[in-house]
Amino acid sequence: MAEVLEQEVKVKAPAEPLFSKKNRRLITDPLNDNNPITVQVLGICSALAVTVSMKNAFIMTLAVIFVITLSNLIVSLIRNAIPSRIRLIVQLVVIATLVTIVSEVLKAYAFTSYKELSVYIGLIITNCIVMGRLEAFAMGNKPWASILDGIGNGLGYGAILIIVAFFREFFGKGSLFGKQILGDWYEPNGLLVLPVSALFVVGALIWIHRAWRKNLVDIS
Amino acid sequence: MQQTNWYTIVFAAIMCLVVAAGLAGMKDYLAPQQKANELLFTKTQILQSVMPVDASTDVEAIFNENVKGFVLDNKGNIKEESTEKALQVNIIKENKKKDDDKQLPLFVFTNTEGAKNYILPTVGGGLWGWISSYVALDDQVTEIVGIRFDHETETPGLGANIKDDPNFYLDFVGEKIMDASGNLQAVTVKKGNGDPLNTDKADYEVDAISGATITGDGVTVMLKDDLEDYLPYFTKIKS
Repeated sequence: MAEVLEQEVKVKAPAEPLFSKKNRRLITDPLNDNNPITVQVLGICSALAVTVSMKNAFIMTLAVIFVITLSNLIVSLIRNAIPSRIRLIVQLVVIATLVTIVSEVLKAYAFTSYKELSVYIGLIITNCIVMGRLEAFAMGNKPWASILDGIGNGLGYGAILIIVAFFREFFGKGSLFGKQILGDWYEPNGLLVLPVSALFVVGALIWIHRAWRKNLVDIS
Repeated sequence: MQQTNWYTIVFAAIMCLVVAAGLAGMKDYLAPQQKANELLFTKTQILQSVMPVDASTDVEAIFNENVKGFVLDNKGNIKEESTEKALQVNIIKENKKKDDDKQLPLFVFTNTEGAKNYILPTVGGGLWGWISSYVALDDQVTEIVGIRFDHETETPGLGANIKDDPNFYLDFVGEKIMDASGNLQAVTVKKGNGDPLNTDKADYEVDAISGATITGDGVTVMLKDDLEDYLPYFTKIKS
């Protein structure tokens, strides 16, 4: 038995290092040139909704990283067994199961956040970033690469969420993570607390991003 | 690769079984902790309607010390004199029952000076799901001394502000619910009532939240309907 295994190993190409250049790109790309929010403009609905406070944005980020990474891993592991005709349903079941787990665990151990986020935790199921990664990446790639892709996209999504939440909470309430930073002299800008303002901030971020990375600008 | 129909069906069936078993097991494991959280949340809401509560407040101790619960029927009779029973009543389920079968929990908060407040739960419909509140009344049952809302799935930033925005729920403080002849007027959540700062406490109105008309109307109907259920009891204790 051992001999057989050795032979097989010899036939295989030399294993790729865990953090090869190609694998590192899986994490760094979504942070910059392939960002799910500012470049692909996906997941906007939740980006508008949970960015009123840093704390909510942070928890949402963790939840999405958890769901997207694990669902990428699971779908990648069973990608060759999934019947192609029901693959979207299978992907949805995987995501929905993980989201239910997140929601129930929050309800048991972080009740306040659960109360504040409950609607949006449920909406991770419909977050197009997650389904997009499953269909576009995990269905055709090995588990390790899929994990990295999940982490990368989760971070890319979360980074924008936290930047938007920073502006909205700081100028909308004068606080960060619920701690008052600006004194009484500051008149909070109520507009920034409303969901609309997230559109302004996200729009501004897209503008800045494209002004910085000229290759992202569509030339048509 | 196109699989046979049987393969697809068996795959789907196994997937459903695995997922269902996993989720059911997890729910079983987490349920006690979740119930405890919900109970504490209810107690916190009840206390918040009559006093300031922050992270350092020992909700459990103050609740046990100062709050007594009852379960009433809609004729104004006390059915059970037990705080535990009153907390166990599922107000959302009760709300769907016929008036005669309803169990109505009522909480009495007695502060250190011996003054009483009546706190009662209300349930109604918002835009997407149920909305509820704990409303505290003064000992003469003529005005609201405090109210805290909760909701299932109202839109954050709009309808959900009934729970999150002090500008909304603090408006109810001091609002009269009874007119001079003792008829229930409750409180109407009204758009453009010409009194946005809510200086007139006897107009039975508070200012609505922009963009949350249906949730606001839900609050109006909920308060009116559910306060009415308790009137027989209040009439009894007053006479």
